[in-house]
Amino acid sequence: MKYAPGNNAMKKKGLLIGIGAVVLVIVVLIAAVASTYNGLVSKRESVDNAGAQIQTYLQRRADLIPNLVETVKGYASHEEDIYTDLAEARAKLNSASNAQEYTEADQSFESALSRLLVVVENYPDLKANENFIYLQDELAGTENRIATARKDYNDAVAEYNKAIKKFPAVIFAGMFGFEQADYFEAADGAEEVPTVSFE
Amino acid sequence: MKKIISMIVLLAAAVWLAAGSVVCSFAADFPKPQTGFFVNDFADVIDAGTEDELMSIGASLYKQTTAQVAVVTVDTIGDYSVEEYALELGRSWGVGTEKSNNGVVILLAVSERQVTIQVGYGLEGCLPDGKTGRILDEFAVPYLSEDDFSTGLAEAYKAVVTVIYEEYGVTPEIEYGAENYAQSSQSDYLGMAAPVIIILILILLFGGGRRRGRHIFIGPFFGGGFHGGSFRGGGGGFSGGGGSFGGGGASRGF
Repeated sequence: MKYAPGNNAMKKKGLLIGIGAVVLVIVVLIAAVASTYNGLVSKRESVDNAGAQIQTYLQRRADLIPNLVETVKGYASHEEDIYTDLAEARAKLNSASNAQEYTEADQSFESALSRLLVVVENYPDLKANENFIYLQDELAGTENRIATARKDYNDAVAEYNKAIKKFPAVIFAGMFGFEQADYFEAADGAEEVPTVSFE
Repeated sequence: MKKIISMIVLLAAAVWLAAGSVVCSFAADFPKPQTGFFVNDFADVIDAGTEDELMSIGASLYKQTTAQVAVVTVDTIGDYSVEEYALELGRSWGVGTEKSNNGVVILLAVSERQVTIQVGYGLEGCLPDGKTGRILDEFAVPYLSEDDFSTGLAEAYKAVVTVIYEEYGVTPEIEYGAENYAQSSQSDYLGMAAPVIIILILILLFGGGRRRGRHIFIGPFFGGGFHGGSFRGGGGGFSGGGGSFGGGGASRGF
């Protein structure tokens, strides 16, 4: 009995330490969840940005076409079909509002572009034209940017998809609406980027 | 009790750290930059004198403008395209500063007989694809096709450097005959380049943060890990500053 107050004090102390530890665990958990959540948000943002970047470059490629067509027309005026197809594909691309439409427009665009570049092969003077070479470099560079942007997009998707499956994110990712993102996959035939060659 | 709780706390912290850590790795089959950084003659086709000259020009340009131009020669690029390979080098070496992305990689693949100029995001305005193609046609290909790799690369290097000096409005401190590389026909292309420039501006306005997707992931964890092209002191070594590339540029077979 003599030491009872001391015992009580010790018990209280122990209880306080216990409570403190529990609070600490909770704080750490909340911090972990918050940090993971923020990480997921920025990763999802990167996926969206990378997707937008692809569309920007598709647009850029479409915008190069009128100039290219003008130059080609000077040498190959009777290839009207291709010019019409290109113009239509470009209009489709301009009015595309979702990824699906973009992909479709892009496909018809690439097929028309390939045909244009085949036609070009028949006109050696055109191939030696400085303007044409310049535009063709712009086109090739843009193709390369599109390829790079698609790769970056898939990297961002991989990073994001991996992140939402990892512990502890996996516990609450679904709860907060973090769903798997889709990879960019070239549609059938679209993997063949029009080859711009200077041979 | 206390021990158990603290162990749980530690364990939770460890799991969290392990789960949250971001590993930043680069493909192992790409070479590391040499200490000179501006000239990386892995295929050993550039003669020593040219190498020294280009090194001084590169260092001088970097000192005056912070832009970095790296020339790289390799025996083979394997299954990669020459653009992919150069882009990967530019990104992983961080050619140019992280802030301005003002780097350029000139890559020669000897076996494939291909050459490319890849331009960092920040220099796409002054070095549009059409212009880099022209530089290759005018300055590099005539020599490269004769197997004079040293001269071809040096000419292309000087032409690129001259454009960058012009862009920054800086007069080169180093003498390399800059006037021979000035592109007098530049204005001919202005009209044609205008739409491209407008698009670039739009991209800059609306896509500013998008460029360095990879770095965004790393940022929160290793904030400030990249330095604007720092002088590594002693021995005249240089290193990349974290610049990034998006695939702009042109290539030629010869």
